[in-house]
Amino acid sequence: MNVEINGLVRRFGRTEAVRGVDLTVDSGVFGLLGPNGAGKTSLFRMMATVIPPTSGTLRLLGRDPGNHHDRREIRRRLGYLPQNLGYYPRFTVAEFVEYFALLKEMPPARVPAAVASAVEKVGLGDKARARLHTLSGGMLRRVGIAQAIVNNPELVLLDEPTAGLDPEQRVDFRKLMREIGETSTVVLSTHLVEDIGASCSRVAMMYNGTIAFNGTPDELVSLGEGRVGDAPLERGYSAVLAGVRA
Amino acid sequence: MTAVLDRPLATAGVIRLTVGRLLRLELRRNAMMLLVPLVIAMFWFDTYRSSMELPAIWPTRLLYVQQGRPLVDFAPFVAGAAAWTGSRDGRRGTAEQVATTPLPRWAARLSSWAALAIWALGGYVVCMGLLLGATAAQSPTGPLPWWPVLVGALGVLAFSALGFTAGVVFPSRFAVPLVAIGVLLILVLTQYPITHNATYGLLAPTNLMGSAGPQAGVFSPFLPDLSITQLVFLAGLTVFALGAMGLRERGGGALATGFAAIVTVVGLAATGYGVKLAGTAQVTANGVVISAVHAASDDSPVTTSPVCQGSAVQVCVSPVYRSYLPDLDAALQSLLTEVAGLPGAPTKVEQVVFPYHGDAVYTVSSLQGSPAVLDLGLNIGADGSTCFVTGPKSSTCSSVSDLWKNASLVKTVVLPHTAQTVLDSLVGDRTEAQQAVVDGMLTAAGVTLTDPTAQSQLPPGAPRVFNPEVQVMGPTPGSAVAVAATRFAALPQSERYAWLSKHLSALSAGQISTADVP
Repeated sequence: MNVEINGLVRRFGRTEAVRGVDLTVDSGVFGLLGPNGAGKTSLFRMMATVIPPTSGTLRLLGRDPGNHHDRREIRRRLGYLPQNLGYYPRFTVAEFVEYFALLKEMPPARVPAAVASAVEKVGLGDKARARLHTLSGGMLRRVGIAQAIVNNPELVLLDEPTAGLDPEQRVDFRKLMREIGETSTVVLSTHLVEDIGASCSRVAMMYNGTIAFNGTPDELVSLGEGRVGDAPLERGYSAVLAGVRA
Repeated sequence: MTAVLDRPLATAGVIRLTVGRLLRLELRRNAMMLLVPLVIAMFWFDTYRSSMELPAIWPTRLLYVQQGRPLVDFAPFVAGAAAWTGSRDGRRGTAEQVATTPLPRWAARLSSWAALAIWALGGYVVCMGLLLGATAAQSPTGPLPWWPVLVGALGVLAFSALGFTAGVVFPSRFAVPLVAIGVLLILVLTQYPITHNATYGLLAPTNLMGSAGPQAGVFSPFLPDLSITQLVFLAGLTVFALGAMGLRERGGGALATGFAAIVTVVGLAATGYGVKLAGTAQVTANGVVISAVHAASDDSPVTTSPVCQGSAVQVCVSPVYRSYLPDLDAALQSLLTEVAGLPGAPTKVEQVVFPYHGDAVYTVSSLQGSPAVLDLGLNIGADGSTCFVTGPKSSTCSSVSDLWKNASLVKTVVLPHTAQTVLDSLVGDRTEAQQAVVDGMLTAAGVTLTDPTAQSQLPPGAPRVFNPEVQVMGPTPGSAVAVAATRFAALPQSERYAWLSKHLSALSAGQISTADVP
């Protein structure tokens, strides 16, 4: 398993954002759903080694992120796209991606090819020399994805990756996720159930700091049978929420 | 899984290469790059223009550099740009993204700082290159004081490190103006209000007291004691700031934290040592002496053969000031011809070091020894301006250095002061007869005496100009002294000389009246 989580708890003062989560994730694309305030971002930040858990165990790529040496190894194999992408406006697309490639300690000789490949994969090849402050919100999101995948990561954490992308770009992105998921573990946090349905082999739903559902998209769909909703996955999503709230 | 798993943990060599690539990237996109033209313009407007007004004598031309003026031009911009760069992750919201990368954040930040420092230092080198190059093209004389140039360079580095760390610690958009204004205030405050702190205040490169002056290294070796102390202090500050930044980084591991702690302690120790050295500073006539770093060989005067000229009495100056000799000799010979050979008259004029205090005084002179030698200190290239009182509530100012650009002004400035020194020593000024003879000889030597009544006769609001440095107050017109002085000045020079040869001792003793003056 590339992600093993047991009894994970994270508190911020008196607030318990994550309450004893158990989760395992293997290769492929894994979706994380949940309403606002469910604890998705806190769980993501722990998985991204940004913050340590308050208690419980977390193992990423077979390593303990609490150990400095292991954490460094994990980070070299990690791709992370936060919900709010920060960027340096005067950098070009290629420079920004190169910057993160270097921070991820890629062998310098391999950086130029890796940058070109990542930029091409997100469809920004013709914008490689454009300054970031000249790009649209959707393009910036793609730059964020490029910096996340530039090191060919084994664990990719993407928080709301398709926000701001137009429908055509979302289709391309899902295809890209499926490709990456063939060799790596991709964890998506999203509100868009179409992303889950189109690209995820497994999905978990968080509610109030706990895992309310963990299964395949088909299993989630089946939970929503007989309920009212626009799409099968949305019906399943609503059913799970109704269950935990009841 | 991909081949990435098989990749070994980055070695030190890979980190070096990575940091090198990061540095290249940062160099292309550094904020300081955009500010370099601005600081060059500031330097040109302030230090360069002011310096080029001064004579082409190395220590004189670099007077403002000795006083840390380039640092005042550079440091606020450099520190502000450094704070801007240091606060980048906080301002741009990239802190979380970069926190998930394995390269020690300290290493990445150091590459950002290094890029900024390279641009800042590059700008400084360009500016100093312009000043030194333009001076070199004017065939300057004298020794080139390198130490203050180095202090300025390290000052730029220190302020870049301090500004950068301030930006890292306070990642706010307000960090930039606060740091820039703070640095400007520090530099200005250390230049003036604590100028007279001759110990710890000397650590500031801008402290006027620490400047060796426009004749540094000409008559005695340039004392690098203070510069060395400032370099230790500034290097310590730089290392401390960078180390403290490393200490602040989380998740770098015990090794990185330990290394940052060592760097911080080393920086702190160097800073403290610089402070300790400054505490033992002694301001002497030759410069600042700090015994722990003082070389005994710097205590011996510079041995050079003076260049001399003159018919009645030889006028000698340091070869550094050779170009002033003809004007100086021409200005003084009229006086020297009047007194040469008289008992107690100078047999030689020798240039001595000017006791530089940054004051608007042009020349100092004194008669020494027997046979008497006139020691003449020339404030060639003094900075600032001198103000002439022109009324109860008004004054007018002119640049002291302007006086040395016009050869005829040497006569206007040096002669009156020197003539008064010589004649007061030779004749005295206690009795009316002595005053009449002195005034007559001053007139004969070409000194214009100021009419004391003219000042009071001026209509209200008219400028009143009198400066004892360049003007000599004459007798009241119509008085016995004035009549005798006019009479004595009108005599042929040979008759004046013959009368003085015969009556000088009686005149000095006060035994001659104005009626006795021919």
